Amino acid sequence: MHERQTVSLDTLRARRGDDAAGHVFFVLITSAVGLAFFMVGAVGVDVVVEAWDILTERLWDFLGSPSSADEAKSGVSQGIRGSILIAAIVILTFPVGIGAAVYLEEYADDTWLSRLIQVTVRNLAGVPSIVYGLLGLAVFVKGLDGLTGGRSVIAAGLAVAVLVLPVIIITAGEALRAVPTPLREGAYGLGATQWEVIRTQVLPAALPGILTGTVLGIARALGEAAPLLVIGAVGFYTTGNQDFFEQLRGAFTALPMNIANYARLPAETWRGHAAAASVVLLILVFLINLVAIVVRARISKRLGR
Amino acid sequence: MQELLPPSRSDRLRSVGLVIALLGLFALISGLVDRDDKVTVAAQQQSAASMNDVDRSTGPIEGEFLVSGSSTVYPIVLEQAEVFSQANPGVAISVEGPGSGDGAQKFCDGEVPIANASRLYKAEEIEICDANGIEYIELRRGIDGITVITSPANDLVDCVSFNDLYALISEEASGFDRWANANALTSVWGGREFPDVALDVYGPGEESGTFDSFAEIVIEGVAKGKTGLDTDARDFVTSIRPDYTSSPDDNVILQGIGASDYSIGWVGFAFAKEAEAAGAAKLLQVAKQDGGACVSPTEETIASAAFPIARYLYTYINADAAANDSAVIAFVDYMMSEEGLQAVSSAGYIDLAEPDQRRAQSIWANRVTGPAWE
Amino acid sequence: MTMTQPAMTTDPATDAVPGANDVFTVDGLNVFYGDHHAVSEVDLTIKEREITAFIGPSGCGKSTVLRCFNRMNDLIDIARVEGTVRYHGVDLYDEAVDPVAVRRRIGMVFQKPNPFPKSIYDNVAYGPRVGGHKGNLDEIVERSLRDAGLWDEVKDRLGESALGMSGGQQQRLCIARAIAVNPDVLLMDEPCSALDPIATGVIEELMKEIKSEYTIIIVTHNMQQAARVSDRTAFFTAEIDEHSGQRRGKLVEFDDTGSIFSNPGDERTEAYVTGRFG
Repeated sequence: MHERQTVSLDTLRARRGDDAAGHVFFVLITSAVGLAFFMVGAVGVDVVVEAWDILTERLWDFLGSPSSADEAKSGVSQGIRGSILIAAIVILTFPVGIGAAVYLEEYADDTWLSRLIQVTVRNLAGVPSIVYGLLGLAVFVKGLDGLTGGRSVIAAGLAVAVLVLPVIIITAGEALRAVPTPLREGAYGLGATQWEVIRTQVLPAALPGILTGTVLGIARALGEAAPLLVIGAVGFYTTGNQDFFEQLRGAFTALPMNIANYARLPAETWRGHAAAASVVLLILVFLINLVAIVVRARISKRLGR
Repeated sequence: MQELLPPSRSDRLRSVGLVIALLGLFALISGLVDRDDKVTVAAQQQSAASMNDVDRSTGPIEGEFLVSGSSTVYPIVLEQAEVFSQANPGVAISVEGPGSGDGAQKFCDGEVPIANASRLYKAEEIEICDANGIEYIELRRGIDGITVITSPANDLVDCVSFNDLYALISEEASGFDRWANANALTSVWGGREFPDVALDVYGPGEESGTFDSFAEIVIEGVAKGKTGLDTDARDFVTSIRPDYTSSPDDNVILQGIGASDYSIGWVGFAFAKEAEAAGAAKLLQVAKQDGGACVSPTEETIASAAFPIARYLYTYINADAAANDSAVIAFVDYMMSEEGLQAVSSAGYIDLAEPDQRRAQSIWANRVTGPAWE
Repeated sequence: MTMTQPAMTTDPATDAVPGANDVFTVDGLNVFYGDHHAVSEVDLTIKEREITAFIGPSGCGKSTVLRCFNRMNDLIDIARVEGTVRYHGVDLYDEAVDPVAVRRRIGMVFQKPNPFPKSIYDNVAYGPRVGGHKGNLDEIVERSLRDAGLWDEVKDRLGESALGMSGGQQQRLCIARAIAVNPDVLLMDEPCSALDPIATGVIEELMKEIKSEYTIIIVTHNMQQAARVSDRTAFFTAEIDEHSGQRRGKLVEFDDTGSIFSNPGDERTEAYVTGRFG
């Protein structure tokens, strides 16, 4: 038998300096978070202050008017339209990215070739967007101009879609890999075919993760300016007698181009237009993300998570 | 029991429905925005109709074209295209301003029928046009002064000569971070002595016509002996120092100028005038030669060529389009009309002198192709 | 029992051999995971409508052998099976055999309850649905839940998520789900290892009740469980390969459960069942 332990409050009291490194680390990470919030907040406040006059005095006019040489009339309707169309085209190509992820994760054998493809996809996600612009110029503007109509919103949407694709493939692949093995085994054990397992169990379970990827993808698609510049987003256009489909193959612009164009004009008063267009872009990204988050929450709830 | 059970097929249908609804929402929003464009245009159409003097006797004009080229000329064309399209709703016209060089590339590839430039096309650009069988009509549009600016806080310098600018901004001035460093050069030709204060240089990047024009007029001017220096006794460079802060965005340049007390930089007159009015920049007087008359940049001095750093703005028209494309013809007609030309001054640039103006109009009227201006 | 699946016709030649009520005949079974020889030379016969228990220490390959009976090892890329596993005389690893059809005949219940993140109803209906069942699912769902002894507990909340059930209920739901496809055999891989003693008792009772309809093979690390529920018991052990140093599973002894526990023929079995090793 060993001696009876004597316990006093002092033995249990925290000793000073016990966790000094931990405290330092806590202060560091807290200030890092604070700094990040401060930066984002400062930029946000600065933009909103600059945009204030336009947002309060002629918000609907600003949203509903095309760009103009007249400060009092110029708006971003064409940019909103272009950005939404680009986002829509990007969304239409999401199944391709999700399909590629399903193939790579579920069907492809683990060979050097499939590993090479995986590594390549990861590297593509880090390629500067201007490179996708050049690719889009060569493939969608010049090569497929019969389909896209040349420097059009379709070409821009496809170029941005290709840019977003690696992000979609990677996040969808990670979501598929995170689906627990027991779920798959349970379905296989009941005599489901591979496709039935993927369709009824794996994809629904991976959907929330896949949606997270699509949110990132759409946000990136809406914010990209470099590829649009190369594809040829214009500063001003009119549509003449073109119908909707001809317009899709005609001149276009997008919100990032509106912002860039406003920022380049001489008069100080145009700064407010650039800031207001930035606010519109931010809100558009926010709205689309909100929709995705709501859809994600509903699916998660339905899956009982 | 049946009603307790949510059949999974209807769940699936609901998801599909949600996606379709979302896409429909996109289409709806873009449709609404699209209609807004037309409403705006239609509403302004009536008032605009009276302002335009394009011959419309042949009925409504239809067509589609893109105007590319200089970002300096962009505001002029933007205003002209806007007014023109209000009177000609059947024409789909678009305007971009990627730069004189980019515009030349698209123009000489035959991709755009109209391209603007803040300089004449270079020999190698003309060669591409020739190789592609593109004939062009070269129109002078207006004048842009290149203004040398500093911070409003700078009370040590009011006027600079070309030689001073060479000593501060040419490649020979690489590494100079104080105004007094330039004295090593000015002392060579017996020029002025600068005070010993920090030197920060801001200007447009190489892709800009303003960069080219400044190098050509000022630095090359000095190197070619146009300011009276002995170019036989000494080799002068023709290029700009690589170690200055460059930006394609003139407003970024102006911000840099305002941020340091003894900055120096150069931007187009339209931008400088706006910045001066806002108290963000001080426009320096410029003398071509040391000891020559110091001239302030104003509309008058630039138009009369008394201010020594000025450049002409040009528009290139594809000769084939000028003969066959009714929409392009109508637009250039408007562009060169008295009313259309007002856009030059309202965009902040300087109108051509009367003889030049008439000559440009006659070149267009007669569809004269090839180099027309010096 | 209706046979809606593409039938695996019984070879008349093998039908003639003694033991026509043999469900599985395993002959010289070896399983490899890549270079690892996981199970070596297993021979055994599983009788119809009996509960057969596989016992043995961890890593002895008992689960691996179990997964050979419904070709679950096919899902592991690097797994390779040698030897023959005959199901009613048909070689399960014949090229013409579709593993999906095999799994509809030979159901499986896993170590950890793994209900799908769907409603209770949809869990049970899942197997019949993917099997192309077009008739009234309500009947099948009710019968399966009754067979699994779960009906009274869940009949009022069939539309609720299965993930809201207790662990024991979830495992019984997995059993109901497995019998909903009307299988011939139920493979149970340590079905009670994640459950408390009361839930374990319920499952054991359930197994005894349904054994009149199904052939059951259960892998368990719980000797008492094997002794309580099974008719016959196979004892596996792991040997250390002298060359590679890897563990290799081996069947030591296979006999009536009574004999294995009271009168083992091998001293390793005796050491294990008396608790001296393992």
